[in-house]
Amino acid sequence: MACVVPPGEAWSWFADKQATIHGTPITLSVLAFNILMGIAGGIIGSWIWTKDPFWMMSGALAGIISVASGLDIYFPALAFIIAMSAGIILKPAATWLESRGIDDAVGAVTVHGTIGLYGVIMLGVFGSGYPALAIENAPVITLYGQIIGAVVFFLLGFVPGWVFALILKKMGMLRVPAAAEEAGLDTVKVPAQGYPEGIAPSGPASS
Amino acid sequence: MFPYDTADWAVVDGPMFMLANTSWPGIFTAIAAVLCVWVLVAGFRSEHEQYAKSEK
Repeated sequence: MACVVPPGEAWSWFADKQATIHGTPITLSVLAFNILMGIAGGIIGSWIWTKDPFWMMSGALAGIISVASGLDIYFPALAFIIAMSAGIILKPAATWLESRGIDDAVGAVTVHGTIGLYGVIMLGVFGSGYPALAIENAPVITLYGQIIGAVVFFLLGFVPGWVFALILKKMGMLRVPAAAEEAGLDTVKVPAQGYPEGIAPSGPASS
Repeated sequence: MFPYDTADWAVVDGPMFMLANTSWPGIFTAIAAVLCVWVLVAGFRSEHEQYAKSEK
């Protein structure tokens, strides 16, 4: 939804108003404000649950993703509430995913996958009845349709990803050696020091 | 629900928030405001709990 199509061009939806790629009338300010509400809600929600800076930063992204489905039509306060709820469920969702044996080291599967699906379904809860395209007799948003969409997204995203991960695992390319995991990838892959021994610290600036 | 007879964006003059011209935007704003105040209070308490721990 983070795209504004200008009016009056050959590829525009309308001759007189800006729209999203789906034809929903929108302006950059609408988009920017709802994105801001998504960031704010996501950070705050994840702070409530974790008090952890890592999850707060992931929460900001999760907040945007949770409202991305309806950025063009959400009322900003509603976007804030949805994003906050996404921030709250972020860490429990990540913990659940890891308990299923998926090593989601940076929380990306949870942030983009789980929260993405949550956002798709939330649009079905709040946006039912709104046109899904700017065409005559356009289909409208429904909760049922959003759930079907979420299932399709899950299958298209998770299944190929799982298959590729399985292939990489069989080829021995999925994970780094255990010793490198223990030592830390920064130390093993980039064995450089920020302040190596032998380099004298710089003195005070002379005037 | 879409507040026009036909579910078509062509009938809308410009950007439109969901549930415009109803009381829902006000309700959402009130809920969001309450959440923000609650978070401020919770944050203040959490912060002072940490201060108290550091003084022990």
